[in-house]
Order: sequence, then structure tokens, then C-alpha cells
Amino acid sequence: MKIVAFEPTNQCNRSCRHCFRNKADPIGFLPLETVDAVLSQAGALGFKAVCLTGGEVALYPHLGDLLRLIASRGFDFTLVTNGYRFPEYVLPLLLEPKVKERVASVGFSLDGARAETHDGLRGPKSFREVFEGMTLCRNHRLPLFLKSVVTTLNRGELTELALLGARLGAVEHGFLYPFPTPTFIRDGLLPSPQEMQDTVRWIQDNLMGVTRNKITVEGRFMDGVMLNCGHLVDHLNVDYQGNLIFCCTLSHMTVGDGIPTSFGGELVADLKEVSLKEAIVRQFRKATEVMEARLNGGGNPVGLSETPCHWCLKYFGKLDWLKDFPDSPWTAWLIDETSCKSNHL
Amino acid sequence: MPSYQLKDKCLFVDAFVYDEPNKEPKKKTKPDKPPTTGKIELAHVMDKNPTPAKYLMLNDAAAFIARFIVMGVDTKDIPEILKSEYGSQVTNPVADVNAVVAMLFPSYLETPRTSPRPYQAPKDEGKGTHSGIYDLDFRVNWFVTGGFKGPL
Repeated sequence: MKIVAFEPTNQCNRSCRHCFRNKADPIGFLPLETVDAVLSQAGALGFKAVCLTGGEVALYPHLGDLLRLIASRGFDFTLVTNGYRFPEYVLPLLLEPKVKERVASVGFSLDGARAETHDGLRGPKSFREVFEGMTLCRNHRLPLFLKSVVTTLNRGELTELALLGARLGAVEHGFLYPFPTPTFIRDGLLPSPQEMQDTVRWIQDNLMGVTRNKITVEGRFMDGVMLNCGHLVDHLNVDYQGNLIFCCTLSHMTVGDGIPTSFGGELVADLKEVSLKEAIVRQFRKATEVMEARLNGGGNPVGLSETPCHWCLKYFGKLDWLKDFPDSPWTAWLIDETSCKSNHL
Repeated sequence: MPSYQLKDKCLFVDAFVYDEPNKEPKKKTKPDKPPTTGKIELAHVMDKNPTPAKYLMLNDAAAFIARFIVMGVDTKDIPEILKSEYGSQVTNPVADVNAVVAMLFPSYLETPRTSPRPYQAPKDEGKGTHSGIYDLDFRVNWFVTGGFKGPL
């Protein structure tokens, strides 16, 4: 393990139609003291880097202090943003000399090569904000990476999107396997499992190796039924309340319209009360339980084993709401007891 | 389509004030008459090469487009950015971008180059004989402050 991922806040300025953040949860901000305490222990345990996710990091009221703290503790860091207040607020913080030397990369979410597509998913002016942020990063020689969620809206322009990312200087461009949410299904934006399978193969055959940057597909391609998830090997995920959560995807994920988060097995430890060392031990115990369940009953060799994130979502009980959508092909694929045995905690 | 950059001693000044990050940026107002000294309130490009310096004030849309031009964004990408900002109000974004390029080029913008290297007519650089053995170069690059070491 080498990366600590923090969610500084769950607040976001956007309501992206494909987002799986639980909007029923009250807004919260991660206390700086918690970050300091975690980093002081993480450094001694050999962690090297920090990743800041969200919510939207630009809405964290102590972002400058947070970045300076990370830099002063000797960690390199990456942050992911939707470009909100980037030129006037985030960029000047990143360009502070002691902070800049610790910036490993800045990630942007770009979901379309055209404004209509991207803004159709993320809201007005978002394309402009992302483009402006990426251009400024390139001009200031800050390394860039891109994340794009595959939807029915952008499936037809993935080539343009990949070429745009390469042209804007993104060193890596990750195409994200989408996670079902009620809004995603209701709006008809979620490709069917079969369409996703075809799309992933198409990306593999037509995009990977074609552009100058690295193209990846996230949330897919695990060999066999073993749980060899890269995130579990490399990352610890600390939510905005200071909890160690088993995986960033499981953290405060929507579980249906208007239902606030109630933690299940994904909560590993409250880092305000438990030492990081003890929390890591619990994390690995949990990983062992999950792997055992996957080996003993959870694997569907032709389906879910290729999408380990979906397998975990089901295992941790985050997909029960799909029963309200009996006509969705995802319900048959993920919930049907005959195709994959349930393994709730 | 090309990317542009400002000429030496030319600058672009935006019309918004971002001093208070939690508030909407304040829009500056148009002066009663073009200023010859002091602060120019509207967005503008200025060329400090001549004396007195010359400037061109821009309205909101032109300044928005100019901001991306001087950032070095490829002009073929700017129409999509324009559509993202203004939505259906924009009817012909390509023409609007071309209009702003025409306002700024060649007075304030460098001639765009597709390659950072100047093109030269092809010619050989001379023949010779060689032992075929190269010396290994163990010199160390000390000129970077902070003592960074790397082979030249």
C-alpha cells in the first residue's frame, strides 16, 4: 500500500446524471486535524502519496491549508476536480512553490468531446470549466489525467474524446465502467451490460495503443474469480467523516432515492478513534473475507467476475434498490439469484 | 486550425475581479470615454511596443473568446467552449471565433506555427569516416539548483 485517498468533502457544485454520490447525506468536511493525524502515521508506515477525491475539492474550505499540510508532510499528491473555480482558486494554490513540487497530477472529469454531450451529463458551462482547467495545467506544466464515464450519450464519440484528451496533454485517460444508479437508469443513460461489454472490447481494440497517452478501462478486466483489485492493493480510502472505507466506490454510494447512507460492512474503522495500523489490519481481514466469499459462492465466470466493482457492490448490499427497476437489463444481470449467488454481509 | 500566442510585450486583461472566491465575479463597467491613462476597466488586449501603448477593448463575448485564444487553445476547440458557456444563444460559434481572431491577428498575436521547429529545405550535412567507437560521457549536470544530478 502506498496511497491514502481522502474525500475532503461530499459537497459538489454539480448534479451529474451518472454520479453515484449519495445526495441524501448531509454536507460534511473532513477536519484538518484528522488528515494530519492520518498522515503522521501513514508516513511512518511507508505511504508515499495522497489522492484527493470528493465531492468537489474546490468546495473544501481549507483546501490551501490541506495542500500545504500534505506537502509539508512530504507526500506527493493527486487531486480530481470538475474544474470548478480552477483558474482563480485551485490553480494559484497548486502553483505555490512548495505545493507545486509535490503535485503528481491533476485529474479532470471529461465525459464528451462536444459541449452538448459533456454538459448534457454534467450541466451548463462544465465543458468550458474543464477545458479551461486542463489548458491552464498544460500551460503551467502540471501533469494531467482524465476520467470519462461511459454512457449512452458519449458511446458514439469515444474516439474523439480520446483524441481530445491526448491533444490536451492528458498522460492517462481512464474510461470508467459505469455503476447503476436510479437516475442513470431512469434517464436511459446507462448502457446495457452487453453494450458495455462490447464497448470495452471496442476501446481495447481501437483506442488502446493508438493515442500517445495511456488509455485504461477502470472497473473491469480481472482475471478469474480472485479478488485482485488494484485499489485494495494500493489505496486506503478515508471519507469526509474520517472513516476508513473498504473502497472509494462503496463510500457513501447512493442506495435509492432520498435514502441517506447507513454504513454496512464497508466501514472498516473510525480513524478518529482507531490507529492507522489497526485500521490496516482490519482492512486486510475484510479483504480476506471478501476474497473467500468470491471464491466460495460469488463468482459468475462469464459475467460478474469481469466487473469486480459490481461484484463488491452486490456483496455489500448496495444494489438492492435495483429490484425497483425490474425491466432494466442490469437488474437481471446483477440481482437475478440464478446468475449470481447473493453474498450480503 | 491553429493555436496562437500573444506577441512580445502584448498582454490580455480580463474584465472580471476574482478577489472574493466565494462570490460571483464582479463585472467591470464600460468607461464613458476611452481612457488614455490609468486603469482600463473593460477587458482588453494591449500592445506596449509602441509609445504610447495601444489597446483594443473587447465586449464580453469577444473577451471570452480572446481569453482562450491567448491561452493557446486550438481555435477549432473554442466554438465548443463557447457553446458550453452561452448555450443556445450562440448561433454561429465558428464565425464568432474567426471574428475575434481577425480582431487580434496580426496586431497582437504571433503568426501561428504548426511545428515548434522552423522548416528548412532538406540537405545533407556532410560525409566522413569514423572509428565506430563512441566515448561514454560521464559528465554530470550540476547547473540545476538544489544539486539535482543527471547525465547530460
